[in-house]
Amino acid sequence: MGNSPSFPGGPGGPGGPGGGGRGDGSGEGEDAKKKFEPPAPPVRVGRRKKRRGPVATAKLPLVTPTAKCRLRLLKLERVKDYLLMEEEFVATQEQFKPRELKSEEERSKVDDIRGSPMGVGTLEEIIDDNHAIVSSAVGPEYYVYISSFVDKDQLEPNCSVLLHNKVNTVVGILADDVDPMVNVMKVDKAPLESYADIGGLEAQIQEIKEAVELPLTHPELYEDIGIKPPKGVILYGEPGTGKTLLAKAVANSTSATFLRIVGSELIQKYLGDGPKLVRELFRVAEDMAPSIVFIDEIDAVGTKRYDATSGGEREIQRTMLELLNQLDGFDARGDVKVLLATNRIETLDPALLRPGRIDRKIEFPLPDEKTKRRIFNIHTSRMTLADDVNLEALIMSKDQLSGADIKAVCTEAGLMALRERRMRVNQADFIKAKENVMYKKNQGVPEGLYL
Amino acid sequence: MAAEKDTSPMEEDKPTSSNGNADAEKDTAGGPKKDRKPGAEAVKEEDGEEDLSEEDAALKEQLELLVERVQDTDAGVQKLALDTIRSEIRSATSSMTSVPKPLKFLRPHYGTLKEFFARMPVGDNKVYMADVVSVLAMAMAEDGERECLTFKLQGSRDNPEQWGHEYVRHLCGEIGAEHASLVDAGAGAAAESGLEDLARLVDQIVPFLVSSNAEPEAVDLLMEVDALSKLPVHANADNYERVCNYLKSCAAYVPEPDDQAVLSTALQIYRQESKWSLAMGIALRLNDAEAVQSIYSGCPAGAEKLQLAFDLARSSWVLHEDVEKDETLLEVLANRKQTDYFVHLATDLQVMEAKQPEDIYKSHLVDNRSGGVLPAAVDSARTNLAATFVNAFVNAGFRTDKLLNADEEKSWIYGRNKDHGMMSAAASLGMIMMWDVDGALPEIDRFLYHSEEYVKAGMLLAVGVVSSTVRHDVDPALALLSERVTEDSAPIRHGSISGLGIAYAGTSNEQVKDVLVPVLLDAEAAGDTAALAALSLGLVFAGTADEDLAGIMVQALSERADAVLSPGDSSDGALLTRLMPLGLGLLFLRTQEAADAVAESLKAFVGEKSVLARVAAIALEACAYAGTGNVLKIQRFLTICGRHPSADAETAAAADAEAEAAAGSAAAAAAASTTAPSGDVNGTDSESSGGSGAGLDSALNSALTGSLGSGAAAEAASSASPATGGSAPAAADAAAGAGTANGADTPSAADRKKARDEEVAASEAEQAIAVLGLALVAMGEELGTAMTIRAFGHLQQYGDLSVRRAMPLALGLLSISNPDVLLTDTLSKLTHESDPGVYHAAVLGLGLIGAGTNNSRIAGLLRSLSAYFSKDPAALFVVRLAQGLLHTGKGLITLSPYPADSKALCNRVSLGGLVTVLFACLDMKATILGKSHYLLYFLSLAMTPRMVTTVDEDLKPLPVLVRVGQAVDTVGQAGRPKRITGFQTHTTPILLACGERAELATDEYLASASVLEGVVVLTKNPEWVDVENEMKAAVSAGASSSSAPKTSAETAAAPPAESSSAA
Repeated sequence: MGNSPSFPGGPGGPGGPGGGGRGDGSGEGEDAKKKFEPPAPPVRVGRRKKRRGPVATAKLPLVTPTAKCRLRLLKLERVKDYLLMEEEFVATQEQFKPRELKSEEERSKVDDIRGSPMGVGTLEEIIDDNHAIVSSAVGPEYYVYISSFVDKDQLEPNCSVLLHNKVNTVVGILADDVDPMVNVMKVDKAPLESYADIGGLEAQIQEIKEAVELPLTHPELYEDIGIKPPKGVILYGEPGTGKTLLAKAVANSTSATFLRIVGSELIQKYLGDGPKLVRELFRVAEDMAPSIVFIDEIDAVGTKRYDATSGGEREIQRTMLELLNQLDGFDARGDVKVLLATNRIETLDPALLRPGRIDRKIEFPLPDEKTKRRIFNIHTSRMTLADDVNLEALIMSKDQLSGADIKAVCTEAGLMALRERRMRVNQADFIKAKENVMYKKNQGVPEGLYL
Repeated sequence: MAAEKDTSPMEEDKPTSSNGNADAEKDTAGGPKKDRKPGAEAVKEEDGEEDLSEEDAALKEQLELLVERVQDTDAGVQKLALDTIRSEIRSATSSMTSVPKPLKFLRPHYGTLKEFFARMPVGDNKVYMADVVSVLAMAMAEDGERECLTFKLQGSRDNPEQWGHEYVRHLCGEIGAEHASLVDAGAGAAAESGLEDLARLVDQIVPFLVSSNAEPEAVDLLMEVDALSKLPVHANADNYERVCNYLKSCAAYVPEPDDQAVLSTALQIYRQESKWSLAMGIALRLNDAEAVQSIYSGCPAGAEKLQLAFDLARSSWVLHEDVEKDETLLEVLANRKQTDYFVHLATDLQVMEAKQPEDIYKSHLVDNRSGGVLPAAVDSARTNLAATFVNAFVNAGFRTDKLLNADEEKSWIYGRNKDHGMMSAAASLGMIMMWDVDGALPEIDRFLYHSEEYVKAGMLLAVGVVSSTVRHDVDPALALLSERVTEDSAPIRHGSISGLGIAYAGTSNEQVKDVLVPVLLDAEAAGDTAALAALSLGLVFAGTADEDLAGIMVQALSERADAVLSPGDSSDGALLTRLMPLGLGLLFLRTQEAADAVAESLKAFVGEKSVLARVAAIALEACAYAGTGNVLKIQRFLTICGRHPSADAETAAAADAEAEAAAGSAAAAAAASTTAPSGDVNGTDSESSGGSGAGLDSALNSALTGSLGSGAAAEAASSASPATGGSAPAAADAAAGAGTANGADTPSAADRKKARDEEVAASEAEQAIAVLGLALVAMGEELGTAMTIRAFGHLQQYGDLSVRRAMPLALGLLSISNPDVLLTDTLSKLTHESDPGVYHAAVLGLGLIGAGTNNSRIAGLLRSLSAYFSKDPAALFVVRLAQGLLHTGKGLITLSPYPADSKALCNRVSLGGLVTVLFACLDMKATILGKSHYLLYFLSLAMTPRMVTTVDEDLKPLPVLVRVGQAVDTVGQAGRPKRITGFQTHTTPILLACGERAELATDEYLASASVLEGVVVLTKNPEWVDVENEMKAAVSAGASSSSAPKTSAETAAAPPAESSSAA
């Protein structure tokens, strides 16, 4: 069916929802009394359609306004009252007649029907509401019945299903709703680095907080002013200036879901896998909202587009296009903030950096003296230093030391002391360590040699 | 250590969450908290002071110095130091993520300063110092200490705004808390002076908040200190809208006595700003007759007054007779223009052509799977009746149809219908001609003297339906109907009583009262007649809480207190036990606690055990709190719904069987008690006496004697009924006792069973009404509606059958004329339940939520249901009714008692009509599917055109462009956000669906109405200049004078003033 026209005689007049709805006439009702006939095609298949949020009936009404005011308080209290009443009602009813028992009984019944062991197969095609074609790993495809207790909304072509061991009826679904790749990206254990471990970078910290953390915790501030919070931030600067460190600190301090991925991970072996991964990533981010997505080394996929010759390059560009779409495409991204990090911002595609996708560009310069001092302090604070150590000499030197270099210097100095079985690190260690580090950094040209 | 705190994220967030209300706000990023790093603390310990940049260190040093200076003994030095600190703090610009630097550095010295402040001698400097400490307290003080406020009160009386918005917000929060604690502490000199101080501070803060675009905060503050009366002073033409909208939204959620104050404040502001229509909206919401009168008489004549008249007519409000003399306005006030505008709308949308039931059924689209034609209607009388109703609903108000008016003789009425069918068929004439009293009366008059009494009865009802919500100047309904109420024939009585109720609903017409009260108190009258009389009286005096009438109703109820629920067997009992209590309830519709006294007297006079009293009490409660969203009532109704009377009865029966050894002397005692008809002989007594000495072997015997006895009891009751109301229940109980005494030798288990069954039936009736009560109470505000729909999910899962039967109807009421997709799905599932009560109600519920929308989704569902139920005539009849409802007025009419875009203003009459039908449908088998289907015509009260028609000041339709879109809740939002979204532009008249809102799309006219709905009076905007025409003129002028047309067009497109000068 589905062909019943909207009401022709009705007032298709302005403003009226007259023939608004779908002519979805294929009701469930008639089944009871009908004789045989070719089965109607399934009404609706696949779970993609109703992915958004929890089941709508269980959803709480949206409370406006979002600004903190008494009206909001009163409204939230009202919702709370209702929820308490529901709780009370359900509690008394449970006492009267526990559902647990009942559902337990039903579940064991369903288990009986399912039998064991069960086979695992792939759903190839859904024929109608009750039948489907499945294939098992070993070979043939079967036309089988779908048991009534299987949630049809969850079925979609290519999903794994449980099959009865004798008649191959579909008796269950194996839930694999998220690409395992994406699950790996989720940061379950917060990194140990906090904002306190960052020397300097105060302006950068503030910017990133305003752009990423505050919109998630206090969205009403932005509403009060009447602006939309920034969607994404790119961190750029010389290598070793603390971009990743700052991202770690954000992950450490936020209670939002933090997903991290490296640009190179988005490049996959098979065609279309990269863009798919990007899509999955953002879908997961939205499901777990509020969340922060951190993509390190974005230049791996985000380089300027040019006439690519090889298929691999084209694929990388397609991955970037998908990323562009996810950052600011047709679908609204909810509470998902994006952090990008790169040290070669000039190679990135301008489309990636346009406002709306990435609203804030935060530069990480090489540390100045004050910052250098602080970084040295952070790294040496847990080292046992000899009395003669004078960090000022290192700090004041004219070399271009990044945060990472300083860390390397400190580590190198420590190693030197270790080599000589000393318990303390002395000034000579530091001097030598610095020379070593700078030598390596400048590709083998000794310090002080100008070419 | 200062530096230790400075990077902790929690500390940096503090200023943003320091508002007093912030506590309620949960962290919106409520994800799982991750473990905080263990190592970080240790690192921070060692950070030390060298972390600070140079300027920071300098600042810190300076501040430390200043703190020392402040403690200097020299007043001059002190003063200077304080001054410097002040300027440091005030000049510090901070980002929103962190605490301003000076505050941060002063943190360790807070304790010192506080201490020193306490030691300071009284003087200017101390006052000066207090200010500074107060500001510091904002960031440093412990939660709940309210030090910020304490110091501020000791400080200068300077305006706190100079310390910035954040400080003021913080102060606001503390003022609220302090005020609450002072009030709690009770009266006393200290408390009073404290309150005075607070009031002074509030007076300083409020103007600042209002002027800095933070009206909601100002309102919050004033509400928290109970000083809303100060608000109107600060309202002006720029901000009254924001202030009042906020107040109005709050009113639905503040506890009961306060909401009146909130609304009155808004009313005062609107009157101050001369926004008559808006003020009227609030006066109506307050149900304040005096305010309505004074606003109406205060409004200057002209478009605005005209608009007020339209508004009043729309909410079925009746002004005192002597208020208005003007003919035109009187006509508008009496709603007599409705039919003209409705026909204008229909003509404009080209739907004037009448529709037949088949056009609605669309059987050719029904998926007829059994092959061949549908089985011919099993019950042709019922099919015809269904056609009658569908025809009436679909062509309601169009004044023409193809069924009834197919021929001059209206042969449909008596040719195709029988008996009670004829009554509804005849009455359908009234619905088709609805609102057009003058046009309908000649037609009706031809049949008023028809030989068939049912036709006559129907025509009498038609007189009422025609004049529903419309008041004619010569009161033809009263003249035609009042003498018929005393006729012998039951149908004619019913027709005329219901007709009176419909015609005069909401008018508080004393004449109608004089006519109907005797019927109500007539002990000889059948139960259903009295019930209809009570209902009609309730509708006529809906929401007036008329004490006199309440007394009469209680009396009438008490006279019939012995009525028993006999589900499904006769319309008599069903009407009596449902509609009579409803009559009383309607009388107190939305009057809240005014109904409490009556509830008490119900208990006292009718008896707590009486079915009627129990049902009446709960109906009264439901109606009195309708649309208030009162959570306590919801809780009470939910508790009632959670009971399981039949299960309880079973356990009781088991207990009885065990304890059946009892003395026969108890029976004798019962017999003795019958001689003394004292008030305390009640149902339990007779039950226990009946229960004493029961023997199972003699059950059959006792059943026989029991029936004899009950016959006697009925006699005794009827003889006792002319006595005063108070003794009636006693007499009835005594008679019941006598019944058992007659069979004293064989005291019956059957009697006990009967009593138990009655008890179960009564509890179930209570439950059903409680479910409707849930919907009634919650329907007044959006949150409650959504949450109640959620709660219904639980009812569906755990509730007894009686609850599940009433639930679809309650859903229909909650979402009337608003075909929400999810609800449609829910109801559609319920239509396939196994219990007829549930699926009948679900089908009707589908009709209700789609009422007057032509929703094609529901239409499709109903069509497939019509095939599904093709062999079940009763269910098919309900499906047809639902189809008729769905297409009410061909989609131009809504049944919702609320305006489309909000749930603020409830039309009592419309709600009354709706509730009447729903109560009747609680026992569908006895009413709608029985002989009392004419009760459906009470829906005419709820029918209003869902239109926006614009008229000029001469009441001529004036087509203008309007934008129609989904309404957006903009209360409390910053700036001037759009009020509608996803709009389309149309030319009036237009239709408005639920949740939609209209806005004028041109500046050419100004609307006098507060909301664009119903009839809107437009006036020319004096500042408007016709840019387009002038542009054309300019272009042609430019072309003729061979000047460049482009430039002249450009000037014309510029602001109007310039363009006119250019032209």
